[in-house]
Amino acid sequence: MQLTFCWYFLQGTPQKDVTIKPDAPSTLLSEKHADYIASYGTKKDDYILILYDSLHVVDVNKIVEYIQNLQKEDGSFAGDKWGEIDTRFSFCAVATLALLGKLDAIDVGRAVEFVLSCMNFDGGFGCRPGSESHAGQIYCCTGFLAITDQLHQINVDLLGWWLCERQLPSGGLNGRPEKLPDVCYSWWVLASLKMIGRLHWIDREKLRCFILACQDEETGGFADRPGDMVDPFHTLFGIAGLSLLGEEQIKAVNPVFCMPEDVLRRINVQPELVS
Amino acid sequence: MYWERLLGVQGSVVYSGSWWKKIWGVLDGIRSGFWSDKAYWFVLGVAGTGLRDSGGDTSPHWSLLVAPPVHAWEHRRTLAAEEDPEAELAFAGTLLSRDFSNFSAWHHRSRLLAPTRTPASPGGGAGALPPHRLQMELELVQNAVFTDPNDQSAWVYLRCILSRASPPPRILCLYVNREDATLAVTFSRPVVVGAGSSALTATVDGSALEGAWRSGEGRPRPSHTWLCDLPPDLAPPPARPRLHFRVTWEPNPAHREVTLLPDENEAWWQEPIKAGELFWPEVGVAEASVLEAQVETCRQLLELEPRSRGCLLTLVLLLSALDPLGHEDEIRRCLRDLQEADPLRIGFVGDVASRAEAAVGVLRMGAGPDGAVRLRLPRKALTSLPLLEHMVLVTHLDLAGNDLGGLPPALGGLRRLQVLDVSHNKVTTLRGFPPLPRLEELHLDGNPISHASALAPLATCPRLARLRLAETPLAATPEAATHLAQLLPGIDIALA
Repeated sequence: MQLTFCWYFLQGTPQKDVTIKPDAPSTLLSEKHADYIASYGTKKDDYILILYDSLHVVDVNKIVEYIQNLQKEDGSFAGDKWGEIDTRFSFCAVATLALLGKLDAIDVGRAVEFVLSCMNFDGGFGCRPGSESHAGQIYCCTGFLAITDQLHQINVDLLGWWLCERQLPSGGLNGRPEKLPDVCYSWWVLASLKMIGRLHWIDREKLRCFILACQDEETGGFADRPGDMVDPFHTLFGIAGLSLLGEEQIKAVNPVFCMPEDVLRRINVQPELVS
Repeated sequence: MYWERLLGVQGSVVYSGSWWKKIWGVLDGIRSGFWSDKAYWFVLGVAGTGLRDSGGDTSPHWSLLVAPPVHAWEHRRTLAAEEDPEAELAFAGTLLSRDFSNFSAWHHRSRLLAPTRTPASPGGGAGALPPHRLQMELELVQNAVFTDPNDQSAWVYLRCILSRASPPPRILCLYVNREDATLAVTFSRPVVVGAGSSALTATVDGSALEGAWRSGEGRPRPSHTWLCDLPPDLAPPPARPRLHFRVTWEPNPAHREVTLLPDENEAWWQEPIKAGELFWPEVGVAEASVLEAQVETCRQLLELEPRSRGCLLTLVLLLSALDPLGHEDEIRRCLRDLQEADPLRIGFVGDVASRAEAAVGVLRMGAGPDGAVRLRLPRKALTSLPLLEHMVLVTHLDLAGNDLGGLPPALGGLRRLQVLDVSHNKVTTLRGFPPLPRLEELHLDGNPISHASALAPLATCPRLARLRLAETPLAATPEAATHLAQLLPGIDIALA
């Protein structure tokens, strides 16, 4: 009988996950991270513009024009002159325009139609229509729909299920089924869950432990998973993720823009989320 | 991506060019000879990224060497469009037979099968897979889940192949009340009816209803329920004419109608509830035999692996799609087992169980002789309150002894609600509580409400007459009675 035949092959594929060692960091090493970021790289002045209310130094009209020209007839956005189409660029386009207060410069309706056409049967989104659901793409599409006030078009229970399935026994979140956890996915999945009002669908304490375990006690900074090399990318998402989880030592971070809430409050750009 | 650029710059001549085919042939040979497919695409990806990063002006030919494996699958699908889909299905099947954890390979199959889905309805998005295709996929999934019941890829895929695209919003209920002079339209999903929008239109006795639509949830946000005030000269008292309403929601051609007779104060039209679609609205399989076969498979697997959470959740979906009332005991057992098997997702399972209880409650609703419709959901461990769009005719709602932390704005669709019992829950505030035109009695005793200001939204309920607040921190404060009398004058408030 087929069932008996199958039973003899009942063997689990080893679950892809990490083990957190007992001596892994378990508290937030704020000072270390501040030192790490401050000493990293030489061109940090560039990214301080918005944080320090210096948007007037950029040519807003040129930026708006550049983005307008990247929108295609089907509403999608290319990333650059080479024409790659990806929902990441839809998100970048509306996020940039929203921060500049120029969202009406593009065809929002068409842009929304394109992003919605990338929705899959599992409730997730890919980079183009028909593409596989992926946590990074989901963050971009959910953020896009938040900015364009279309979150009600998402199948919240279905997407929430796909997202909360990203949590592994270690507490970390992966980006797709059967992949390893990664601190950056912890942000993208977490922010998406927050935007659709389903943050309570994962174990927040276990995720917090995972993120803290990704810190490097000597150099400061966060790595993708415990024990790996740190970098600013994962440091940003580790800290932002902890903020969403309610870490009091960190300012409130907006899940759509991955920027401090007080900055967005100042420029009056705070999209409404699903409660 | 790069493929479009390649084709755009050089035209299809390049792809069909013989030297390109030779290159592909060599690469294919390397793949089948030495490397696994995954490694093959990964190396292409790394090489492609490296070449691209080395300078934006590199020849478009090199753009064929693509970025990470996810994008490699995109290119594979573009190629497959010109090849034999059956061969592609076989390719994906081969990958899966080596490693069922290959989510990309499952997705590849679903994309190849997408064109075979029949449309669910005009403009309704992709429908179900044809039966013979579905059968093949179900067998493949069965092999996967019996090999590794804890691998989630196959369970996600199973849900996808048994689903159709989320149905677009449609009208579920029309409700008109002569005294309130309002027509209420409730949708299956939240919609936006903006000022000046012509998507939602209504006529009364053939003449257009000119009034503006407003959300039944109290704020101009996407809502399930939208209201239109009837013009005062339509039926000035004591006149009680017969009124015939016709409502159209533009994306859907079907219009809905309701007639208010002279001796009636209220009238409604409601779409008959499809029991099998309450819990799992996206279910796309109509044949019970297919679902029943899957139920058997899940039951057998659970005998071997009682803690397979993918299996438990799938069984709940299947039983709910077949007969939620007939299977309610087994559904509850599975959800209890799922809570134990999946401690990481207690919040998720709690909300899933709430949905199952709400579905059973909706199906058990009874209408009394006086027009009362009672929905009883006490002590069901509810952590959320879904399916409110199916509860719009309820007059008495019993939610006592649950775990609700608040009440959703979608409650605003319950235009007939007279008595609401939310006693002994976990409500701390009524922020977002919608204006309910007929609410007379509200039980909030035994909730952690500590400030009178938390009850401010109740001032928008014109008929609220009785409020119970015994066993709340607020009731124990010395000035409670005074504050409440100021906030909610004329209401009989019980603090003990």
